[in-house]
Amino acid sequence: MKMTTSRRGEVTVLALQGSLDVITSPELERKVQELIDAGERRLVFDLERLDYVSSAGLRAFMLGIKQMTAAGGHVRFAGLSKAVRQVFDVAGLSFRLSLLPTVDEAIAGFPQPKPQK
Amino acid sequence: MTAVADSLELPNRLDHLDRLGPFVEQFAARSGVPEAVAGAFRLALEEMVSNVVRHGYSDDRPHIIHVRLTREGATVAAVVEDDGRPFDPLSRPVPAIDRPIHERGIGGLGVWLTRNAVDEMEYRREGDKNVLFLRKRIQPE
Repeated sequence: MKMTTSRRGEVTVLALQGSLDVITSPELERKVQELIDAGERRLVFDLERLDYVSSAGLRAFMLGIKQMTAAGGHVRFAGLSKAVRQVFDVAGLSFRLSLLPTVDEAIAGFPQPKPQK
Repeated sequence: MTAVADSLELPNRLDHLDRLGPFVEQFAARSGVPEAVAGAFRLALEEMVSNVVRHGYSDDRPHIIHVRLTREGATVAAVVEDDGRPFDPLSRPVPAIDRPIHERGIGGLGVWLTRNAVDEMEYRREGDKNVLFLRKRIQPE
């Protein structure tokens, strides 16, 4: 699996390419932890080029979400394929998460930062 | 229609599970199984075999897990056989899919995804082996 990180303003976009399974999911867990440690608090998972996810992948996402939320951050998802969306649906995750068709829409949906006084 | 079958032997190591994807893909190409059905078996096999690797053995010895895929007519079937301790994946509790994410534990998701990916799941203990059967029908277009 290939991971690519990019920034759009205050938002980090983490694009996954390939398969998120029992072998590759530890890489994702490490990456999310790294981003949180670096102070990132707005994360979009760009799944446009992710063609496969198993329960190990879902656990890595859930762990990342829990950690990011505990740190006061927000996570959104973009570009799920039909097959990946189905796995999220079956796992009861889809209605609990922000799943958007595109990265732009995911980024637009973050709560606005509070104005500085 | 002649049945098509392929077999794979895997050591009980998680890092060998990346052989399952290509195995399923090659079988699907040979037997004309559509992508959605192949994807369902790729997921089901990863989930079930990783459960065997994680929970099936209490010794440090290497073990072989046998995986077989067959297509007969519109039915695709997989059999996963291992010589680990008795372990029935169907007895795992259903995960709390209706709870918020921060209230959910780790376990049970693999079996749950498998149940939904295939039409039938059956477990049998045969002598000193765990044998798991998975079946799915190819739906007409």
